[in-house]
Amino acid sequence: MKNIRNFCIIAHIDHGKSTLADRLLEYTSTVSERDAQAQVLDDMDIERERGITIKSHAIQMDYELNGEQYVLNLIDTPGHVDFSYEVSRSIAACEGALLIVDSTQGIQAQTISNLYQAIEHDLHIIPVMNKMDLPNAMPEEVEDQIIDLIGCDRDEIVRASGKTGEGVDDILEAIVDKVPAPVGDNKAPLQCLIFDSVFNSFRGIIAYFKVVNGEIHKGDLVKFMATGKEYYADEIGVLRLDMEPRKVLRTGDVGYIISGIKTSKEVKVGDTITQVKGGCDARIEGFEEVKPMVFAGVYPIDSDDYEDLRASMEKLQLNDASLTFEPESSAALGFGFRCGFLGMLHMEIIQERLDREFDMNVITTVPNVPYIVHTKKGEELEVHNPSGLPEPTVVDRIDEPYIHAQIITKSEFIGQVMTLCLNKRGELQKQHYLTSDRVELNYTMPLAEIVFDFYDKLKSISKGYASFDYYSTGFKQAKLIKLDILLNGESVDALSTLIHFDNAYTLGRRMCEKLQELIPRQQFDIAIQAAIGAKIIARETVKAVRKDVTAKCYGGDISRKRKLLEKQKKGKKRMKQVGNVEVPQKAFLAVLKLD
Amino acid sequence: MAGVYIHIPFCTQKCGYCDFYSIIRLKDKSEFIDALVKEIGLRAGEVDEKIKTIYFGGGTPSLLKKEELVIIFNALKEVYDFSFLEEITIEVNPDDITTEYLGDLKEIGFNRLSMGIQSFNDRILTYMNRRHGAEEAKIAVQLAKIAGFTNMSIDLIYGIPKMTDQEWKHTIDTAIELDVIHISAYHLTFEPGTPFYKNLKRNIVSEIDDKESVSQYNTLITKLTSAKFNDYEISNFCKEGFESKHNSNYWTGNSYVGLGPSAHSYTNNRRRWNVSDLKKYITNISQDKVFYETETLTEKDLYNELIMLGLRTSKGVYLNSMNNFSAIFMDEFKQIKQKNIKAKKLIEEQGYLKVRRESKFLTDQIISDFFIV
Repeated sequence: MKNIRNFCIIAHIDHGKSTLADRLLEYTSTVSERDAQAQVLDDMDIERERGITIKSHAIQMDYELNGEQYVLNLIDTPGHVDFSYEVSRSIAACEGALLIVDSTQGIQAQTISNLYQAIEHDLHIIPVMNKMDLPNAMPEEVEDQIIDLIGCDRDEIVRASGKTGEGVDDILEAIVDKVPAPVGDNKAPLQCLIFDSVFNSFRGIIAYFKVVNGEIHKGDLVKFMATGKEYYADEIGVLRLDMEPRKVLRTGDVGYIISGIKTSKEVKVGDTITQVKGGCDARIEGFEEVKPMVFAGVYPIDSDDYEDLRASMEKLQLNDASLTFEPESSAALGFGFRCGFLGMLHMEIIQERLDREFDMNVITTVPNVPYIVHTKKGEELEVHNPSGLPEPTVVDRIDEPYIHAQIITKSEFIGQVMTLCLNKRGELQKQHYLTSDRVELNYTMPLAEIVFDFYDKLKSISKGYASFDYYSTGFKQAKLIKLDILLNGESVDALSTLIHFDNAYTLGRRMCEKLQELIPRQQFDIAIQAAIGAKIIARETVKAVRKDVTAKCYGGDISRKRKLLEKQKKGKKRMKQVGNVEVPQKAFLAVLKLD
Repeated sequence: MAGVYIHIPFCTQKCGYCDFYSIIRLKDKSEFIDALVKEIGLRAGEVDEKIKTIYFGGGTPSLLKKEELVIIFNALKEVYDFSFLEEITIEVNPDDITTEYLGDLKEIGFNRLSMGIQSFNDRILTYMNRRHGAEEAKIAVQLAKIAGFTNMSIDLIYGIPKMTDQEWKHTIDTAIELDVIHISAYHLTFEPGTPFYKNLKRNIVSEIDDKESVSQYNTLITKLTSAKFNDYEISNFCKEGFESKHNSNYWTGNSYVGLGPSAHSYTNNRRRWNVSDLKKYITNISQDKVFYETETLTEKDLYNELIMLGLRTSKGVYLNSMNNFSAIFMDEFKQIKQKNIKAKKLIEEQGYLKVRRESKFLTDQIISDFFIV
């Protein structure tokens, strides 16, 4: 156990975590050379394309230092706010963390919030300045930020480059020298912390865990304490580039278990595995049920695809337990599902996976947060859909979820950022200068405001410099009303939103303008209206098409015109018929794209 | 029987709306003719030698002198049997027309002219960067008739920004008074790469309102119908019996060989197009390198094209010709057909399916409704 080092990497997106991780694998000969696919840790297509790690993974490396053999377990963490709970469980499985900061960009909000979690779990922090090979690196300034943040000595900071390999040996040595070996009692009853799980179509759900106390043997009858379910440990082992089976895993080891589990719901991140006979009494602290914070309707474009969509969602849920869905129907869109996501990125990922992996053509409606409706009779209802709101007459009050938001920006943008937060109903809690030109702002604000276009706006007003992270702080009462959108006089339920009263008029007008832009002209005029109850607050018209004909079509035109019309037809097929109006997919997300 | 198209890629100035391939450097004419002659030889045997039509398009074919046209003709005669030829057309620009040149064309064997007039209004002609005036155009038409070119078509354009209804009516009336037997009237389109398109993107001009387009089209139809013209295709009108045989050949899915840069060919379900670059055309032909691309049409492509071309003609889609397609195509076809007949957009008459007059201006929509993608 004294030669095991468990560590994770804390980094902002694009700060080069995956590339540096690849170097560690290379220097420890875990992978011999860069095989075709760069960035070994990110093995989902979407992850590789977006350059971010969505789901965490783990990998074991061997390393020799001063004649001693060490086992290094790198537990990778997802790099997005939507997955902050999973990050916290990965952190809990480690004794040390590499804090990677891009030397050209400095510290970002998300780095800080993950760092705080690591410090809270008493992890030893090894600060690393990455991308030192770039000409625009500003090491002194970034060092100042790091020192200010974690109070380390200047010479403790490793200067590295994932690209050139600079500093990689220093990092490996620091991991061995500075990160404490895991503590725990090999003789105590078994306690394993699950920090991740993956779905394998041949093996079922594979849970990744760290042995906190005791030993686990192949064939043991074990219990997952949160679900209470019992399984035989059909196979256990360690995670190298592939899974390597072992007969036993001891305290401090990181490994996997395969036990014939079919659905991801049975494996909860943060849960404790113990033995059925002579197991432990208490779960490892910190377990939480992950609750979706963003809901949206997902509908098949072609209503015949409903059952296929259900099957696809079920398959997705097999390896993504944080996705929830229940059937719902919409007057405009027919039958579909109300899906719960961890956040906006999660929602986008699911949508993309439906398209890529299942070839499902779907419409996603405007997302919303969960609301708690208190009725006059004193009942409490959780509402996941604006159209599910009870009649205004029976509603006493509505509570909406709030968050604590942490924003780090260059101080020159502070004015614009504060205006944005104010417009988003944010209340400033704390303002703190990290360095002379970087400031950290803390706000409380409604989650619903983040779900709309907050992040894009923040990025654009700060020229991409501001970073942002948040955590939930519970529910608060809000003055919300339902804004409806009508197409040719008929209310389109899928376009309804719950909105703060003060923003309703502006939003209504902008929704109409945006929809006018997005809905293509058809054979008749289309009236687009925004309404609160029976009151119309805005209107736009999409004028009818009266001319749709190609002027000339001779020998040289035929191919081109055919392809043009084929493209039109394809576009039309992707539209949804709402009443007599054909509405493109993107119109259902119009509210998110208001400028 | 097949048609032969020859693309002459030269102009002395570019018109604002035109996206046909042409260059304004006339220096390369003789090299072009050499390459063209070589291509004619190379393409021998691609279609049955008994061809029905020849069409010289451009560019501006009337920039070619008699001797140059003769060289091309002789090369064609080497390869094709001219005894079945029914129609030999050349596109001409009004200001290239002289009695002498018309005589040359007759002598070479042309029996049909297609004259690019576009408008009988000087302001509009200047706006489009045409190199002739209205009066010149009228004289050219009269000279052509005197020279014996009764079979003559003129091109007109409507839907031009800031053209008044009055100006459009005047142009149509003038065409009718000149007593031409064929008119191609095109609604202006802003084609990528043209000066007009650039102005559109820079918001210097904007497209005219749909209502105006429809009204100008209706004016055209009303005036030409009362002058005894048939609207045999969306943009083509003629007196009885004077349809363009060469163009009709495109719309019925017959074979054609296209020669010269950018020219398209269609033989045996295969479409081929030559490179749209005179330099490359000349170099590659002289060095025996490939100077064209091809694609083979799938059943779906053939089906889509048959509908696209058929529905643009007043005759319509010949229903029996649809029977050659697989059952899934037929099922889809029948279903969309019924839907559009019910919606009063299409009508079935004597074995043909056609677009009703009132829906003509929405033909693309109807076509794409049928498309299988």
